[in-house]
Amino acid sequence: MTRNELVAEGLSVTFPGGMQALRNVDIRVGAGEIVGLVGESGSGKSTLGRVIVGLQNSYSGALRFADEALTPRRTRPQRCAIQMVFQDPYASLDPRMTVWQLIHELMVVHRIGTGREDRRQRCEDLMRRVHLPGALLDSRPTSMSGGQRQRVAIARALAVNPRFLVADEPTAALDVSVQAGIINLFADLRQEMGLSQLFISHNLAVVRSLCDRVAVIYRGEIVEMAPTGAIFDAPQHDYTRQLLAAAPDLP
Amino acid sequence: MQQAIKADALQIEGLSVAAQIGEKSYKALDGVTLSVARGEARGLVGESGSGKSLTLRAVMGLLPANLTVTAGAIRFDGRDLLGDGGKLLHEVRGTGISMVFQEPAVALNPVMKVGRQIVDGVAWRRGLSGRQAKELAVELLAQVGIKDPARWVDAYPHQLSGGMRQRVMIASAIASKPDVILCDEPTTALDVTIQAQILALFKALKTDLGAGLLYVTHDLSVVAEFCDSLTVMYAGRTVEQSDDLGALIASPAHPYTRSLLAAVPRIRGPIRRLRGLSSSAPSLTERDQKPAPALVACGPGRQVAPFTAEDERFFARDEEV
Repeated sequence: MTRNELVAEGLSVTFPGGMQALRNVDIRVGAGEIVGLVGESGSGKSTLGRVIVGLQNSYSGALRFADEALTPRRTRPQRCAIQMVFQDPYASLDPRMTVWQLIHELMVVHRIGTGREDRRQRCEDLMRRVHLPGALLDSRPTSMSGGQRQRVAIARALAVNPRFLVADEPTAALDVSVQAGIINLFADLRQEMGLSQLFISHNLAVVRSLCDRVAVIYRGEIVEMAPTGAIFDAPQHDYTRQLLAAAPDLP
Repeated sequence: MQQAIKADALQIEGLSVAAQIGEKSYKALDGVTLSVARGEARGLVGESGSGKSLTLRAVMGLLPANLTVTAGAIRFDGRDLLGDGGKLLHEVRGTGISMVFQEPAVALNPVMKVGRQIVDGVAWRRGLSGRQAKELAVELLAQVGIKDPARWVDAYPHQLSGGMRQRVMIASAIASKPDVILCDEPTTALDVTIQAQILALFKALKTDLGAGLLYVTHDLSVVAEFCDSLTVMYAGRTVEQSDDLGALIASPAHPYTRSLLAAVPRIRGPIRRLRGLSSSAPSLTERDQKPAPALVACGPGRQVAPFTAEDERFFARDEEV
């Protein structure tokens, strides 16, 4: 068993109005591991991602990252260490800024790099890392395809040297052929940088092709968690079986 | 023509559509050819921008103002929908051919009760009374699997879940018992579980109504669930099609189809690295302006677009940018 990178224990979130989004959730992601989180709309999977990344600060329960407790008041290194990639690359990038401006701004805020030239160099490295041509640094996301935009969003998340990525349905808005390239990129980031990931999706086939373990969430509770092979070959919970039966597949 | 073996309800032949951008004209569709028989479900797959949705819009006469049909024929029961100054199309649209859109939240009128939206057209055509129309709406809602339809008939679209809204849209598409239903990615916005229910509904409708379905999606695994036949489009052209979907998926003839299949993640079988096509299809302005070569037969009920060794290398290339 690998060293624990992220550990959540007894996480609960209740929204104003009494809606319980998470109920006593335990989840662990090892160093260099990709864990899939699957469930239907409203199951709480995005809420769990937002708690982990620090965007949802009213919760109860304990969060630990790299053997340190994470509190709602995170230190700058803690905030950099856990980054997020959102579902819709059309909505998550400011259309008025070039890719260089989008990433440079972040590096300045988080005091990454020693000057403009060094940051430019880092940006070019990031573009290579996400398999985009360096020339795109000076274009705006609006002139790019959905797949290219999602690569920019990933480059931006990587700019602050994170150790952990929460990806919330990062391919749901993309074509199947573009999706394949993005899935491969997440696999490569783990391979090349040892980046641990929580990969949130309602698409079981995508999760199967990428993740080491899978957690199934239903109505705010993790109902099953197991290695990917076991989830698909021998699902234990009824809800997991229902999800599998509903998933379309090629003959 | 004596060779018509099955009676195709919808035939699209050599359909070309030009897009006028400024002074120049570009080929948005180039020689698209396919047919749908009653009781047949044909999948129409391709990437964004391949022209699959545009093909449906051309059939419905819903092309944007800067797009025009430049060549080809669209026939409904053998009659040309493009001729006749659009009179036949007007007669057939909504009765013989209907359409289900991707986003029911956008396609439905937010200030009209769902029951009335479903039967508005039919009630007017058949001269139904208010009470008869409502009874028909309840019946249709039941047919698309909405429980307690009498309660929902007076609801507004915002009161319904995404899956129910899509059922309402399907109800309005089948209200006139059409021969052909055009479906434009109707489950893309839905969850897996709801998607499975809607696909099961389409399957049932195909049998119960005997309608032909032309089902557009970018997801091959969705059409593999319930379609009989398959047409693959790339950059405004038909690249391959088969009357037998299983045969095409088992042995794709065109290199583009092969790479599209290799991009699909699987629920069963060995896990392998997916084929990512990160540089996508040529955009409208970069497309080959020569006319598309005619499809050639490559097996019973199968056709493929001719391709060169260079095409083969192009589609087989590994992901790069």
